Amino acid sequence: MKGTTLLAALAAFACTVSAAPAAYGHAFGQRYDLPLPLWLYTSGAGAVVALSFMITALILRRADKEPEGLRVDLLALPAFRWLGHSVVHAGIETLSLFLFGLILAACFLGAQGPFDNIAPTFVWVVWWVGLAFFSALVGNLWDLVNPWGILFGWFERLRRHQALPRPYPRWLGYWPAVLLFLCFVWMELISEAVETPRNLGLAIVAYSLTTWAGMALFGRQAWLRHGEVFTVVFGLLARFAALNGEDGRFWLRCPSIGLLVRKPVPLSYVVFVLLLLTSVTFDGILETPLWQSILEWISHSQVLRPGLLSLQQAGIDLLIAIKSIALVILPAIFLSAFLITCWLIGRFGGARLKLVELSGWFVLSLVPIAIAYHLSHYLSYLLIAGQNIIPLASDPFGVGWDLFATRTYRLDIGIVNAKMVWYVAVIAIVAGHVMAVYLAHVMALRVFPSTRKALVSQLPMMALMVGYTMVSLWILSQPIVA
Amino acid sequence: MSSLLRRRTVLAGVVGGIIFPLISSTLGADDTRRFSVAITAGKVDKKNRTLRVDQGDKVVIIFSTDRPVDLHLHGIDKQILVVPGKLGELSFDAEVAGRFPIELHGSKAHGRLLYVEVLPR
Repeated sequence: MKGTTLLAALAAFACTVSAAPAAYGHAFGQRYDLPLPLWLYTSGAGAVVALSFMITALILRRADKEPEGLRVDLLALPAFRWLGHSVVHAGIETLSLFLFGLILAACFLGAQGPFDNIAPTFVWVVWWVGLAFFSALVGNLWDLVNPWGILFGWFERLRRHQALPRPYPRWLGYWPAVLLFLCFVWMELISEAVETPRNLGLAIVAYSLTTWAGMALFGRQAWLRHGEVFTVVFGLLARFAALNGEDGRFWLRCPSIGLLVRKPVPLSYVVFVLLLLTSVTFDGILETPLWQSILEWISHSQVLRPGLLSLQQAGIDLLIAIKSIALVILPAIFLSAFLITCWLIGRFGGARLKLVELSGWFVLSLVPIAIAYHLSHYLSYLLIAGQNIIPLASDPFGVGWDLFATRTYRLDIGIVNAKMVWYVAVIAIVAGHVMAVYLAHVMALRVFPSTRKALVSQLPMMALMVGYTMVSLWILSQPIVA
Repeated sequence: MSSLLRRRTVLAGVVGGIIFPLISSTLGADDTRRFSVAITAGKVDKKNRTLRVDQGDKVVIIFSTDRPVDLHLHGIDKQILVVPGKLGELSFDAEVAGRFPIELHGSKAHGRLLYVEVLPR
C-alpha cells in the first residue's frame, strides 16, 4: 500500500519535472532569447583568457596611478547646476510616492490577473530589473526615490520630540539585508504566489512595516545603510556607475571605479555581495538542461525517495523545496570557492592578513562580471516584457480605462534583434571580465607590499574570474528549457 | 566614354535592382519549411522538441493528436485547436528571430509541447 502511494507521488513529481511547468523562469513574463551559437561562445571565452593576461602586463607599467582621482563635479558646471535644486528633488520625491501609492492601490483594488494589473509588471520588470540596469549603468537613483526613506523622513519631521534611536550594533552589520535579500530572491525566482497582485501587495505592506520598524529602532540612516535591502542592492550596483552623488556633489567618474575600496568591507557585506552574484546566476541555471537533469536524477534517486515522500506527505511542493535548497547551496558553493581563492591570494602574495580581511578587500572586484551577466541575461526580457507597461499605464487597474490611448498596444517582439542581443551579451561579459581583473589588480597593489607580490597574488583570483565568466557565458549558450 | 560607362553601370544597377528582388521573392515562395508533428498523450517525439527554421521562412506545422488539444504559439501569438482524426495546420511567417514555445492550453494539460527556434540570418 505504502509502495503504491510512494510510486504515485514520485510519478507525479517526475511528471511535473519533465513537463516543465508553464510557470515562468523569472518571476514574471515570457522570454524568447536564443542561446548563444557555439562560435560566439568560444570566441568570447578565448578573448576572456587572452585579455586577462594582457591586463597584467599593462598594470605592470603604470602601477602607481590612483584611478579614483579622475572625476568631475557636475554640479560645479553651469549646465548641470539645476540637478541640485530642491524643487527638482521635491518633484522626484512626489512622483515616487505617487507611483508607490498607485502600485499599492492597484494590488488591492485592481483586477487580479498578473497581466491585467500594472503592479506585477511595474514591480518585477520596470522597478526590479530596470532599476538594477539604471543603477549599474547610470547612477544611484534609488537613494533619491526610495518611498520608505522619504515617508519616514516626513514622519520624523512631523514628530517634534523624537525618541533617540539606539545605536546600530556593530555585530549586526549587513546581516538584516542578507536575510531580507534571501527572502526577496526566493519570492522572485521560486515562489509563484507574488505574480498575483494581491499577494504582491501583501508582501509590499509586510516589507514596509519591517523597514519602518527598523528605522524607528535604529534611526533612518542606519537602517537604510544596513537593513533596507534595496538601498544595499542598488547601492552596490551603483558603485559600478559613472555618476555618483556624494556629500552634496555629483561626480562623473570612470565606470567601475566605485568598486575600489580603501579598507576591507565587513564579512556580512562579503556574504551579501556573493548572494547577489549567485542570485543572478541562479535564475539562468534554473533554465538550463543541466538543472532539468539534476531534477530528473533527484526524482529517480533511490536514496532520496523516503525523504521526498515525507516532504510530499507534509504538503510541501517538492519542486519548490528543491529549488529552495539550491538557493542556499549555490551561494555556499560560491562563498567557499571565493574564500579558498582569498586564502590562496594571501599565500601567493605573502601578506599576513586574516582571511576575512582578504575577502573584504577583493569581493567587490567580482561585481562587474555579475553586472555584465545580468545585462546579457535580462536585456531582451526588459525590452520585451517591459513593453507591457505601455498598455498597462493606460489601464493600471484593469478595469477598462484608456488614459493615454495605449490600451490596445501590442508587444513588438522584434524590438531587439537576436543577433544584437548575442553581440551585446558577449561584449558585455568580456568587458565586465576585463574590468574585474583590472580592479582586483589595483586592490592587490594596495594590499601587498611589492608590485611583484601583488601580481603573483592575482593568479588565483584570475583563475576564479575566468571560471566565473565561463559559467556566465556557458549559461547563455545553453538552450532555455524552463 | 566615361559618362557612357557610368550610364551603363547605372542602367545595370537599376535593372538588377528591379529583377533581383523579383527573382528572390519568387524563390522566397519556396522557402516554406514543413514539419509534421504527432502528439501522443500531450507529448511529442524527442526529435520534434525543437524545430529550427531561419528568419524569413514560412513555417507550416501539421499536427496530429490522440486527444483534443488547444495549441498556443507564444510570441508569434497563434492558436489552433486540434482534434483526433483530423490534421491541424499551424502556419506563420518567421519574421523575428527567437525561441518561441508552443504550449498546450486548457484543462489539465498545461505545459510546453515544443519550441520553434527562429535563427537570425
